[in-house]
Amino acid sequence: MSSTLIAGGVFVAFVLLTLAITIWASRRATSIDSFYAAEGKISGVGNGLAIAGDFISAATFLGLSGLTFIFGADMLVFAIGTTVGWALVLFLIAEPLRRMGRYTFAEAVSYRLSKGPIRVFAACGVLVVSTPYLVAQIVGSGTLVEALFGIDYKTAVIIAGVLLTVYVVIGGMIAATWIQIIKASLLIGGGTVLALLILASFNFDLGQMIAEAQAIHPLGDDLLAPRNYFANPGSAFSLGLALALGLAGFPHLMMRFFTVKSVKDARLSAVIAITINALFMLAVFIIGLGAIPLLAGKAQFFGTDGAMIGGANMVAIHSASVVGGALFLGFISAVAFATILAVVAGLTLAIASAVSHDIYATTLRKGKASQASEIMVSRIAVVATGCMTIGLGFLFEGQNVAVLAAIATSIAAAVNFPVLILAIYWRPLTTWGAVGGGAAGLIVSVVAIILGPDVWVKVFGFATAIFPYSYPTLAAVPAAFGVAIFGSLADKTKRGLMERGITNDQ
Amino acid sequence: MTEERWQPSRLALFLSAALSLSYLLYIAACMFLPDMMSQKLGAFSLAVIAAVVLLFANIIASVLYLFISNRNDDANDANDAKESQK
Repeated sequence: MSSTLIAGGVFVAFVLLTLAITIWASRRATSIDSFYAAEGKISGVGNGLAIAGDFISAATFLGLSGLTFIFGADMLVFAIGTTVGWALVLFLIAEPLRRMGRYTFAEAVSYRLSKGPIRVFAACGVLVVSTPYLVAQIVGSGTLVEALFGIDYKTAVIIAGVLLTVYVVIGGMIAATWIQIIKASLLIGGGTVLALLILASFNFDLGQMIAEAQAIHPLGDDLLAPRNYFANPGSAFSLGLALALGLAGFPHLMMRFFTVKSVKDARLSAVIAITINALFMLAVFIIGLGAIPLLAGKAQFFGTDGAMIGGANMVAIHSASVVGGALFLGFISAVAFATILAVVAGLTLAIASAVSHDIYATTLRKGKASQASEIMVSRIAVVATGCMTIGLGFLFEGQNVAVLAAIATSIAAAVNFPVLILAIYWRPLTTWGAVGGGAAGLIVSVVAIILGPDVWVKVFGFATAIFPYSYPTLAAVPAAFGVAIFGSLADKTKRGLMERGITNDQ
Repeated sequence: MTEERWQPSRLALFLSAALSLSYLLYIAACMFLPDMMSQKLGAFSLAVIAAVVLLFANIIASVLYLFISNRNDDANDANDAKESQK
């Protein structure tokens, strides 16, 4: 049996399993509580696995192993950044968020402020942050399936888009959470086994593996030295800041803290996510380094032009084929695809809840919408998001997945994080200060990305970038904090003064 | 929600500051002292070893925070229960 058939069989089995879970979940998702927040019944351990599953996406598993393969030790800046980001979520965000919100990110932000403008702003923030991340995932899924099975890219994107829509429309948060838990367990298990099998290829001698990698890599001994990926210190600090602060700005990650029953469970969720993230990053680092000597000289993984088939993002998949044969290749590729699917489902749910709960039910219907109509609007939003995702997947074919994901993280750090942290801890924050701060973060982010090297130079073809860094965080986060703080202090409107008075009474 | 609920504990502030600062120092060392961070320690470079230490420091700090916070919550709940009995 060919490896493609085996891989296809494992993939179909996995999809059927997750669909069965979705149907099971749909019988439990009878209320609005269960659709958005799984009735707060997810355990701390289960939620920690689901959070880790939400974050360990195509960009993490496929993108970072590819980054290590090309640039070596600079990948560790990503690894530590995301782990520190989770730690900050645990220490500063998880507990108050669990106490403040019920279903959505916007509820937590608007807890002490005027609900209308904040909810509309926060819902827009959800859409702005989630869309590029969604595009990164769907482009990754199309590329993966295209390279693995020889299916046309557009067909692969349509399959992924339809599947995610079915998952979320039928099952809601319960289905999305259980798929994340199973997928995260399999991905973490599969990634660990892959790292161990790679190490076994070198008799578990890390020194030998590194020496062989350095002997054939263009960077030589500098493979484990810093500054191979980052063009300048500002880019490194900007990315580091984005990773450390951006996680708390991702609504699809933060709304998972509403699915547990207690603050203790919220803390446990974050600790599990930190541990899994840190250990998985080390496994990805080993996979990326080990792939250098493992794949060298194997013609089946390289095209006639000498480039790797599917690009560097396929390093982990090709390595699975070398060390584990067709069955393991099928398992890893199916889990990688399901990873993308599950992350997209979580993002879609975040967008759907922002549209149906924050904009439709609370802002437009002033809290008078029935539960049935709200769930109906949510499902329509899911279908619309699925269609939009497929369309954007076509449009962004061939784009770098890791860059798109990092840009989304930068925007999340600039738009959502400053407003969320000030809403929780800074009493004088007013509604217009929060809206102004978030808007400033968004505008500076977008302008800096357009004027930066990735768009201004690579897309528009200018010689030098006006904004020197790929990631806008260094400029956008201070701008968002500055406008939110000074805007609140300068807010002399009746509502602003009243809000500060109300806040002081709390 | 009582006022102190809005304040992060000293432990949370200390750990947040310590981990954030150590991450920034790691990036600064990699960017401004690349020769030092490239030095070999066995099969690895100083950059790799420092990164692994930082990753495990994050895990240990978060587990420590979990236990201390949960213990404090339990103590507070016990005190609240005693107060309500009085």
